[in-house]
Amino acid sequence: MSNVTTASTKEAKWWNGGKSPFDVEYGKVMMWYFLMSDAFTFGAFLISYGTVRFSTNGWPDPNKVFKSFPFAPEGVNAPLVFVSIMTFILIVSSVTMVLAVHAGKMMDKKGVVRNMIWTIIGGIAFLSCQAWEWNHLHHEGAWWGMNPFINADGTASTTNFTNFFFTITGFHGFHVFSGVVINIIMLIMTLTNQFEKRGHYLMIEKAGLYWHFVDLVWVFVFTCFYLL
Amino acid sequence: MNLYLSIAIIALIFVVIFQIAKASEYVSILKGEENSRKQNNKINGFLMIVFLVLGFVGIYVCNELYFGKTLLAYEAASVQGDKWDEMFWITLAVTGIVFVATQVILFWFSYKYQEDENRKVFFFAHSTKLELIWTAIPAITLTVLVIFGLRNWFYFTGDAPKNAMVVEVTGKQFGWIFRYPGKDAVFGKKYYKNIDPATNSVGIIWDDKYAQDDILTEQTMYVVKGQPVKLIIGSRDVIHDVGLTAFRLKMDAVPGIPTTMWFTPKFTTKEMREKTGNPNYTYEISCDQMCGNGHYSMKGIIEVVEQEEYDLWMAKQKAQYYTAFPEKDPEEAAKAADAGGKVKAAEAAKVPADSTAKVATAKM
Amino acid sequence: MSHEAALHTHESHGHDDHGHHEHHDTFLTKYVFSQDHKMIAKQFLITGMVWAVLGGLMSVLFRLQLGYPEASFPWLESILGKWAKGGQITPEAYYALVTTHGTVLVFFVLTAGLSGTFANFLIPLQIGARDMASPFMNMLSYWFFFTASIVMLSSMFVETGPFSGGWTAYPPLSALHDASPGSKSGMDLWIIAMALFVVSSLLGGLNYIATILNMRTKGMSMTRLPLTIWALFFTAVLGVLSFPVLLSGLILLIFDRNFGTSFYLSDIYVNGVGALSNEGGSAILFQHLFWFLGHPEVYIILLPAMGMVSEIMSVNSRKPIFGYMAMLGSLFAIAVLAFLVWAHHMFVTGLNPFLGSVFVLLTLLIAVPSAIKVFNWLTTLWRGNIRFTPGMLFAIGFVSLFISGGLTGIWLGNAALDIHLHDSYFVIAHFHIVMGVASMFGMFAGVYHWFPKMYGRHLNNSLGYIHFWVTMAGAYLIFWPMHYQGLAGMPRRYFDFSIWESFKQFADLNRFISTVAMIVFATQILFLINFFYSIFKGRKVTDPNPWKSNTLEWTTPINPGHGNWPGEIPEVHRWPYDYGKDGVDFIPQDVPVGEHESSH
Repeated sequence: MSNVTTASTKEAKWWNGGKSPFDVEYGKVMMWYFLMSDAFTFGAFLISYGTVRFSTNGWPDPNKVFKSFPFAPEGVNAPLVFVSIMTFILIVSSVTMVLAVHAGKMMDKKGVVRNMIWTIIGGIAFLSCQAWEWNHLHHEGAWWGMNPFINADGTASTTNFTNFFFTITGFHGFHVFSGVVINIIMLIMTLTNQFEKRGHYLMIEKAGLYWHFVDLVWVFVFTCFYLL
Repeated sequence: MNLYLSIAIIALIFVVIFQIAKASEYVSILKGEENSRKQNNKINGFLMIVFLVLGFVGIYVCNELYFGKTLLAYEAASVQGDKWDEMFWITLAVTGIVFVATQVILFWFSYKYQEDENRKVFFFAHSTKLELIWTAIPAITLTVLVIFGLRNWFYFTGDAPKNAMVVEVTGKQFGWIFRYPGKDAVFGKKYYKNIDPATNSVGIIWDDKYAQDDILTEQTMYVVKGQPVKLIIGSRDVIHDVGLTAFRLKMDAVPGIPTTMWFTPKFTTKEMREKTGNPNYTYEISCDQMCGNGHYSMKGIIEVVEQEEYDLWMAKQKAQYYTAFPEKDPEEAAKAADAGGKVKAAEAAKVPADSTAKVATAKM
Repeated sequence: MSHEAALHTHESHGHDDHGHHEHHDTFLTKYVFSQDHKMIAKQFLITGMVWAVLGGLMSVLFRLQLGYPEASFPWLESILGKWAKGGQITPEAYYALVTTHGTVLVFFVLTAGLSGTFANFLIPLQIGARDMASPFMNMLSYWFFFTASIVMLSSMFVETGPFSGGWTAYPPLSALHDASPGSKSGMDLWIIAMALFVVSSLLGGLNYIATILNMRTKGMSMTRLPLTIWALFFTAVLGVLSFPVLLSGLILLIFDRNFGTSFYLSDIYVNGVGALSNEGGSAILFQHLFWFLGHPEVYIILLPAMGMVSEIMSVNSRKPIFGYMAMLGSLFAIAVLAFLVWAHHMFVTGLNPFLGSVFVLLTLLIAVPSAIKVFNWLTTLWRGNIRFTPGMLFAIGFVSLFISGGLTGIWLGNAALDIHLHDSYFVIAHFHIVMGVASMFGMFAGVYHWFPKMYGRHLNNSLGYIHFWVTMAGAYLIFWPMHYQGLAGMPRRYFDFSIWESFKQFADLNRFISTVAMIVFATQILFLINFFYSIFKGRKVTDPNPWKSNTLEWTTPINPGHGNWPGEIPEVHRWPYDYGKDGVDFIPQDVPVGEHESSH
């Protein structure tokens, strides 16, 4: 009985001022709200994409558009293989980010450094893949305002397939790029013992939140452009 | 010169007001700040009541001066307009009562409960009962208004009656184009890349069999009194809006996305001239969506006429096809035949629109 | 272990930082790149005031055209050059003025100038914090706003003029370079300025939210927060969640303008250019994205004013605000509904009628929490002991205007009435009263009320009274008759009505409105004189709590310096509205609850 009352009073006190509710540091609150805000940005893009796509008569078949693979001979048919690898890289980088955050909680500097380096490599690898894909599509004649791919049903398509593809994957790529820059800064701060001195690795946690968010967004972008 | 003079005068007025205000501050210090504060409080409390009274006088005067100039001064010119007017009066009654009651309470309380040393304020932090009352009353009132509104809304936006005549309205910077479907009562297909401002201002696909009797007019649209009119609205460039103030309706003209609106005119233009006592009265179409620098001059005219007059007018109209291809016009052909080229002209009239078929390669 | 310890070290680090600052302030760090929330608030306020003057001046100029369409003013040509050839404003200039007036007042004055000023100034002071959660981000927020201001200002000086398609910037007009001169480079600058503005509001908003949630002093539970803080909290949440959608919309727009995409464009033939190749886009899409921001934006403007009015009314009625929890609940309801009603701006775009009916229902639902707020304000006055300070007068004015403008909202929210009134002068009257002037009144109330705290001096009272009564009367004289013009169907954004048989009968009224507008504008100059004069020469504040108010900002010295409280931050023991309780005039929040005190 008494246990219950103490628990509830404790709970109530989180909101009574003088301390952060649930000991969540203010930076994390900001990060969560920022991510919500950013989710609305991406949400607006994806909903725009959805409305335009469904009000248009036809749409190109992603299996026919995204079928190339670097260094493979021309005309190879490997639908969605390359993008699957990209997605895999990004997900793995999320895993290494989790490990970095965990190491940070353990105050294990070496673990943080190792896993941050892997995460950064993953991010750069993803960006390189995207650069290759964009470059390849551009060579095929696709760009903003240009769409060489016909609709799945053989009719002429509008340019909005490529318009949305480049805008949204580009905006996502920009987020990944910012994430890589943030991660590099975090790495340098770790190496120069800044977090060691502060006694906590909260900054790594915040960078981690951002990184996972970018991954999550990719899952939606991937679904919308490559699968549907 | 005038400008500098007026600036100088305004500056002078400012200086005077400012000095008076400054002086009043010194006076208040002399008189004792507390005293002058109390005096100011009384003055402002009194002004609250003055403002309330003058406010209502002002509303009355404004209504006297301007009600006659609004559309509500005479009967609505469409069946939809009648329904709109009815809704207007209901909403005005409801909001009017709330307006008067709350404004009176606000200013009366401000006056009544102005600072008074002898008053002990009533520590009144909340009352669930009161709060429930003034959640429930607005909720119920609004439900009534929503029901009225939605009934009319679905009527306004619902399908036009079957006997409605159909006119296509196209907005452009800065004017209106009207298309009538002609004898077959079906519009020919159109594609915007066929637009030619001189002969084909909406981009009709000429080899569509329904297209050749379509009639295009600019600026003025003729409709028949008492017959529902359905407008199919589109735009060539930017967003416009077909504003039919006298009929109490409007609808946007959006490029690429056709919209519709229908109404039933009740009075001919002539009857309206008598009703309003204005010999120049016309039904005007105003563009109600910002569309560029000529927005304010984007005027169209609706002539509401009796059936006979409409038929006469319609008989005079020539299918746009013949304007675009004068050589195909049977009248022109007849003239040409008179001039001597009988055989040629007959051939020309017989040749189907093959030569123009290439123009329209498009999807619809 | 590490977590709690970590937080503590972090906080103490923060405090060191503040101490550090007080000693080494240079002019640059104190007045320009200041990280003190009070200074940043003043920067927002003064930048906002500069914009308000510019925006007001623009309205005077276009009212000049509407009131005196035939007259010629040679001096106009000397100011505006080619935009007023022969002393008459050209349509291009008129539309540029109307557009910039709207953009500037909605975003730069009533968003940044209002919530930027008072969120910055009041949040740390009223919740008992030394500063914002991140003073650096806070500074950045101002400088992004400043940069946005500069870009917006520069758009007025490009050869083809600033954007001139209305502040809502609907494509295709805003997307086609050839549709209007204002849609050339002026529009690109407009978009860039708005994007910078979004970044500024995001940085600010995140800070406000984190500060309110995390930095409250001991005892300041969420239900002991003054209503100002709650209002600013919801404002920040609305801003953080709705501005990004505008950003997305603007990114798509800039692609349409400059990179050949067709997100918003389809089937277009431009006079003099020919048919464009764009197909498959939707012009309506932008309106959805825009109004998904645009409607919450209305409440971003209105809520801070509501919060401040609640506070000022309670203080000057010497009575608790009536129904604190109901006020809170209605703020919350308004904030939630704000996201669900955007399409009521689009009833006549060919919206699906069923969808339209849903939006009618949700829109009129907002009237319920609004009505609760009004009735609660009225009850707060009831049996109070009202002191008419200029701040209180503006608060009363706010309520009056909020009622008047709110009631016409019931008309416009009902689609069947909107189908005639849409985009007419009725709409202008409605939103100017309820959102424009009312929020402006909220802002004035705030400035008059917190000026002693900001600058340690009083504003001149007499000038304040003149300012209030002229502005109050002027607001009604300008906007009340516009309802009649709207009922005559007069469309907004018309340069000249003389060719219209249906609208030209209001020439005399237009002249009257324009004259009143000029007088009201001149009165605002009077306020500015009062404001700047009083900063330096105003009567000094002697009592640290001049209004006998309960909230924490009045528990600090008159000029608190960076860090807000020289000693410990006070602990809070009660809600902020103990006025007239048990016969005691006021009991500040940091006074412990007495033994025999009744509980409310």
